[in-house]
Formats: sequence, structure tokens, C-alpha cells
Amino acid sequence: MKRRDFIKGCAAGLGLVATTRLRMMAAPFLPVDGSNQIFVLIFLRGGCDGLGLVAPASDQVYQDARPPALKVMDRGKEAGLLLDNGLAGEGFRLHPKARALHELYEQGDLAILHACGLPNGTRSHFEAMELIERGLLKKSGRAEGWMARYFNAMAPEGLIPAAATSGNLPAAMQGYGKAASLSKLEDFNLLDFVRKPDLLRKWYGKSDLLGQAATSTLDTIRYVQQELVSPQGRKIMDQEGAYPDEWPGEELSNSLQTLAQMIKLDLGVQIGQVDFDGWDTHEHQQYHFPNRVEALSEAIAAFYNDLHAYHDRLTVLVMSEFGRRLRANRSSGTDHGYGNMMMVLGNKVKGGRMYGHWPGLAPDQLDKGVDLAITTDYRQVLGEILTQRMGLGSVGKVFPEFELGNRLGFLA
Amino acid sequence: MNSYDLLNRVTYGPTPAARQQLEQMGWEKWVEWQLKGGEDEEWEQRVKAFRYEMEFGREGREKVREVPLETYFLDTPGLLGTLKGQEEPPDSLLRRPAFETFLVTWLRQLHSQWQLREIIVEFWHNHFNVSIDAHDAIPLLFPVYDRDVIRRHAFGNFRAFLEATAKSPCMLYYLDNAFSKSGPANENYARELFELHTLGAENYFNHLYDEWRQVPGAWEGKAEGYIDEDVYEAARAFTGWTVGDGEEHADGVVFPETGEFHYYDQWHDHYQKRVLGVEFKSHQGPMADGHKVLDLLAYHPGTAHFVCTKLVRWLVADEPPETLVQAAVDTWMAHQQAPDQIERVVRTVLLAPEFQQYLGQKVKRPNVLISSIVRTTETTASPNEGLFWLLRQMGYQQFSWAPPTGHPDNSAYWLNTEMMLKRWNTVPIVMVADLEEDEGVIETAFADRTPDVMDSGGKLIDFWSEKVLGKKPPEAIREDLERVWMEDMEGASVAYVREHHPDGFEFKLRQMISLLAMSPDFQRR
Repeated sequence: MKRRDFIKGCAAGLGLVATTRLRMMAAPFLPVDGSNQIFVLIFLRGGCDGLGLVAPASDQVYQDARPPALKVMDRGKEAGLLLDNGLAGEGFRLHPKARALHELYEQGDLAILHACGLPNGTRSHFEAMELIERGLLKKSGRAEGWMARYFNAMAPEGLIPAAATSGNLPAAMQGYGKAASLSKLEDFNLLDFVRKPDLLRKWYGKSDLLGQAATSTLDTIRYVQQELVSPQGRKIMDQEGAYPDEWPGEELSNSLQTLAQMIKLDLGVQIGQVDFDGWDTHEHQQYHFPNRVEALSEAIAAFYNDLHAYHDRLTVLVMSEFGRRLRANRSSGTDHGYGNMMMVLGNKVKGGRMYGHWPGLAPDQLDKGVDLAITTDYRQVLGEILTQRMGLGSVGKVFPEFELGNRLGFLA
Repeated sequence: MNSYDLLNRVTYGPTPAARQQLEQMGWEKWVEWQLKGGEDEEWEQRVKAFRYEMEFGREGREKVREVPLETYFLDTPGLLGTLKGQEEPPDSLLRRPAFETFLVTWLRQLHSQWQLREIIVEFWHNHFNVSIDAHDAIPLLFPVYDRDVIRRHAFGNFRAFLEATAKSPCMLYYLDNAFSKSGPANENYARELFELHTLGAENYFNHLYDEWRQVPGAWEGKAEGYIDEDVYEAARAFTGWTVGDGEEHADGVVFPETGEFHYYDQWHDHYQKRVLGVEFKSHQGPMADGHKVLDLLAYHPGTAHFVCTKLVRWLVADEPPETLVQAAVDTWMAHQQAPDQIERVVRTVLLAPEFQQYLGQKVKRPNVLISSIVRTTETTASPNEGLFWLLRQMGYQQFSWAPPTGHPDNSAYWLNTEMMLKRWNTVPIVMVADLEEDEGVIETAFADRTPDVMDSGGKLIDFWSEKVLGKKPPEAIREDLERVWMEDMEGASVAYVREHHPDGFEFKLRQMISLLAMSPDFQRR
């Protein structure tokens, strides 16, 4: 027998390409409370240059520290977008490619924080990300992520309270049984050829790591496919948002669109995380950085428009593991730094102004004499969102050994 | 000794033939045989005969042609030569050598008899991770990195290995050192050299100490760990380590067009430095600063511990047993100058009694999931571009993992909803069809290799399970599979179906084997 004949003969029954033949599952589902709050975290991997994105453009120290291509200008044709209500009397400006973010700021939905971060001294990507995602300040034995601690404390009832859209589950969600990662809803099903979910469920059990992964995968398949075949689901999947679809924003757009679909399908998403990488601009930052800023800005605006019916329930936070060095290096890039900006978006955000304590850029004001200092612990920002918007009583349950300081007050 | 479980750990899947061989030789002899290595004629024939499809020509006017593996075997001048006469070489030409490295790697993992070598080579590729997407020159020069850096040193001396990576154009581009000039230096390479290649984050003391002199041991020139000051200084030490790229640089100088390591003195920061408490005098001469940093790091006990822990995690357990790590560290430290230092460490780990206590507890990496389907079922297979994308969906980005950490080596990483689903779906895709336009991976029929005496569902299941799982399936699974088989056959006998519906028989057989490979035991190694 020729292989090709075999394929031809059986292809109709395989359904390997078209995976949309769906079956209704008989199992009853938990009702979804349509009023839950939704927190979306966009993590900029690699250490976004916060001083290049939200710049103290009026500060001469800043202007002197970088070549023109690596900074936001204070005047002239290339000048950045001025931010009203800045910090410490400085004239802060957004990178000129962040036009959509600037509009959200001006309309009062976007707040910008600065000089935030993980105040433990590290300039290692992997250590900083690890600690931030575990909700810690120092290395410790705690293995579960901060989102996992939040969900384990709140015990929400929805189907998929924690959703990620990258292939890998973010460390922040590790340790929570109902966390799911899905890159594309339509494809989230077993192939026809071996569609034996009941057998797999039985064989894997749920006693060990493999079993837990199998069970949560099979549950997610069931939930997602049930929602997708409903009339409402079909309508939602047919809608197309105006997401930017060109490099380098394509992946971010796909992720945000999948997350928006999950939210609209009422799968019970309460925290969603989306990663956007490529911010480790050690060299030729003038090529790498502006198009990423534009992609970020356009994709966030598209996502926000797509979810216009959810603005009262939605809080979006943009953050990175650390900022970058004030001074550029000689390969036209910036090395790992420290303090960084964060952005918060939503209808319940008191936007149109900046928050935080600007430490200044003079040598004695910089951390170790080289980097923007950290005056706001990242956990303060997350803590305010969790307690004010996400129903958390005490932050200690999520961030061990941390107490909320005076509120920055960026939420209504 | 369970030959299946042992081979499941140190190969890309236990073939029945390899199991038999191991049972005859015994574990110790098998390990020695694998460490010794040698020719592999059968494999070389296979590589010679191998053809793959490649697109030539400009965008919009591409032509697809079947080509042999050629560029993988070229040296640097040869690789540069493939671009001769191309003003702006198309992506297909630039990326061909990296793609051939991918294909050759797969042919080795699937079919080479030197399986342990491949396991260790993959470890080092992951340790000294380079992504071919980071810079245009990397995919072009990637065979040199694979062959002359990773493979040449995989069982050799760590100090020599470290220098080979430091001077490799692929690494120089990947971690930006190629662009690093005095004042201020680019820190990227220096930081990852400390954190990922040698001392590891476990020896990064930046949260504990602000100044070098506070680090324990620093006064004696034997700092136990490092802080940012060490990174800054090391970055200065590597300024001027770049690539002969034939380009004119800002200072009007044209580098030779060699595609190889190039030291450019004008970019080097010549003044005094201090790394790990050791003073470097100013003006030490070409490359002396960098060599000294490599010495300090390669011979540091912290490096021995960090790298040996990773190796034991790779070969033995997600939570490496400390006694075994210590044994590996002892071997590592006792043979720092030996040309076969790493081989000795691997031997120590594999022959330690602890090694066999942890079999079957790690989750297979996605590439091993696929290769073990091919190997346990004794089929032949042709890697292709579809395979690359299939692996990506399961979270395995071969030669294109962007961050310099390499893929995480712990079971939990591979087991979220998205990847679990893709792991299940991968099995039938590999077993049945359509990796890319009907070009499936598996080339041989299963029915032909199923003896006629396997004349019932139960016997077929046991026959194939002995190969795929190395044993009869767990009773509950066996019952389910037998029931599924009976239902699908609608009462017809195996002999009848074989004779009258050969296509259907092959199809059902593959479906059953797929389900075996989707069962939990096949996910582990």
C-alpha cells in the first residue's frame, strides 16, 4: 500500500485539518456570574526602557545622558507627547509612537506610574521575573505564583478564572489548578482521529502532575467547545477587532484577541496574562524600540475598544521586570536598569495623571549611581488593584511579608 | 535492570534492538561504549541519501527543488561562499545552514547509534543557548556553532568549551558582544556569562552586598559569588571581542571578512579592572583580560556546582539529589585541566547508584515525545519543516528559544493546558498524516510489521504495547483499548479485516498505537 493512498482513503475520517466538528457535552456547567471583575496583566519581557517610553523630557540630565535616537525629545518636530499632571514638576512625555496610549491618557482612562519595581537590587531578567511572578522580594522556598495565591484565597467559581495566552503558563499562575493557557480557541480540541476524552480522563486520573494537567486540559476543552457552539459563541467568534496584524505586534494582537474572546464568551476569566517580549534592547535600540512601542500602543487600544462593554469591570496593567540604564552604551543600546514605569487602564482608573514619587536623575538620586531608583514597590501597585478592584481583603495572603503602604490612589 | 527505562532516559527512545543490545552488554559496558563513540556508517548513508524540499528564488517567484544536505558540512569560508554574488541574499539562503542543522540533528536523534552523545549535545545547546533569530549571521554560521563549538567540546574540557563559545560569532552576535566597545561597554554577554553559563543565579549576591569588598572571600581574591560590579568589569574585559564581518565601522575601519572571531584592539578598554576580587593590571595585551575572566569563572567552585546541578537535573531528576551533584562536582574539580573533564563527569553521574532510582519520573521534552514514537515503533522518518512548527506548539523552540536561559528543564513547564493538548494531538499527527502537504513523518506501514499470529484485538494491543511502552499496558487501559477495538471492528475478525480492508486495518492499527502513545506512561521518561 502506498502511504499516499492510505492518506487519501482515510482523510475524510481523520478530520486532522478541520477540527471544528464539535460535539455538545452533556455535563452540567457552573453558572457564570457576569459581574466579576477582570484584571489583565501585560508583561513586557526583557526589561522595557521606561525612560524611553515615559520620559522626564524636560530634565537636562536626561537629555544629556542619551543620544537623540535613544531618548524622547522635549521640543521640535520629533518631540514626545506631553503628559499633563506629571510628577515633580517635570515635563514628562510619551514616546511619539505611543499615540494611542496618549489618547487614552487624555480621555482619562489611562494612568501612568513611574519609578516602580522590585526593590531587591537584581538586574537579572530571570531572577527579577521569577521574584515578581512569585510575588516575593527575595528568593525563598515558595514555589507558587502570586496569582495562584490570590485564587487559592478567593476560590472563585468560574470555569477558567486564570487565563494565559502564550504556550507556557506564566509562573504567576503556577500552583493554581484552574489556570489555563490557550493560544487559539477554535483549535482547542482533541483531533477527531483520537477524540477519546473519557478514556484520557480515566487513564490519567488526577493524582499527580500529569493527571492534574490532563484533567484541567480536558475540562477546558469541554468548557470552551460548549461555549463556542452556542449561537452567542458563534457571534462572538465572528467579530473581528481592529487589531494591528503586522510584525512585531502580531503575536500580542493574537493573544489579546484570544483573551477578549474568552472574556466575551463568559468563561469566567478574572485574571488574564499576556506576554510581549523583545524589550531587551542592548544594541541598536533606535530600530527595535519604536516599532515595539507602536505595536504595544495600538494593540492595547484595539483590545480596549474590543471590550468596550466591559470597561467598568476591566483593569489593565502594563509592567516589565525592570527598566534600563539612564546612560546609553556604545552599541547604541541601553543595559539592564532598575526603576520603571507602569501603566493602568480602565474606566475605574483615575487616569490622565501620573502617580508615584519621582526620585530624580542626579547621580546621588540614582540607584547605585546609574539607574532610576525604585520608590514604589511593584506589590503596592498590584496590591491596590487586588484590594480595590478584585475583592481581596488583605494583601498578606498574596504577597507574604508585605503590607500596603499609603495608597497611590490611581483607582476610583 | 529494566532496559526500556534506562534507555528511555539516555536515548531518544528505546528501540527493541537497542534494548536487546543493552541487555547483552550490561549497563556499565553500554555506558562506556557510548562514551567512546565512533563511526556510524548506517547513519552516514542515510544522511547522504537524504533529500528535502527547499524554495529558491525571489519572493513571488519561488521554485521548490529537492536538495541534499550540503551546507551543514561547510566551514566558515564555505558558508560565506554560499552567498557569493548575492547583493541581498534571500532568507532561504541565509537560513539554509540552520535548517540543515535542524535536519541533521533530527536524523541523529532518530537514527544514530550514538544516542548518549546526542543527549549531552542537546544539554549543551540548551546551556549555551543561541537563537538563530537574533541576528542574520547566526543561521548562516550555525553549523559551525553546532559542529565546532558544541559537538567538539560536549565531552571535553569546560574551560576550553567556554572560550570556544565566547569566541563563537553566533554567541558574539546573540549576546551582542560583537558590538561592545569601551565606554560604556555592552553588558549583555558578561551578565549571561556569569548568570547562565558559569556561576549561576545561586551565586549572584547583588541583593546582599553593595561593594565588591563585602563579598566573602573577595579580599583574598576568591570571591564566593558575584555582584553587578563584577559584571560591569567583566563587560569591559570583553570589549573588542567581535566578528570579522567585512563591514566598515563608525571609526572608518574595515574588518576582515572572515566570519570568524576578530579581536579589535581599538574597541578594548585597556585599563585596570577587578573581577571576583582579583586585580587586573592595565594594558595586559590582546584578549588577556577576557581570558582571565574565563579562567576565573571556569575554575570557580560555584561554576562546578551550578553546571553539575543542571547536568544532574538533565540526566536524573527535576530535583537533583545533592549527593549525586556532589559526586559530579568532585569529579569536575579533580579534573579541571583534563581534556575529557566533562566525559568523566557524565560517567560519574550515569554509573552512580542514585541514577537508577529516578527512572520514569521526568516528563519527556516535546522533541523526545516525537522521537520516541518513531524509535519505539521502529519506523523510519523524515524530519521536515512541519516538525519544527509542531515542536513549537508544544513549547519547544529548537535553536530559536529567544532568552539565553535555554528551555526550562522541569516537568511542570511542559504540562499546562495548551501544551498538554498539543502533546496529545501531536501523536496522531506524527502517526498519521499531514505535517506538511501530506508529507507525514512516518514512512513505513504498521500492518506489514504486525505478524499474522496477532489475530485478536488483545494480542495486537500487547504486541505493540511491548514496543511502545516496553510492557503490557496497565490493565485498565488494556481493557479500554480492547473494547474500542471490538466496537470499531463490529465483530469482524482481525484476519478478515486484514484481508478485505487492508487500509482500514492499517488505520485502526495506527489509531490504537496512537492511543498507547497518548497514555500517561508514554509521557514519562
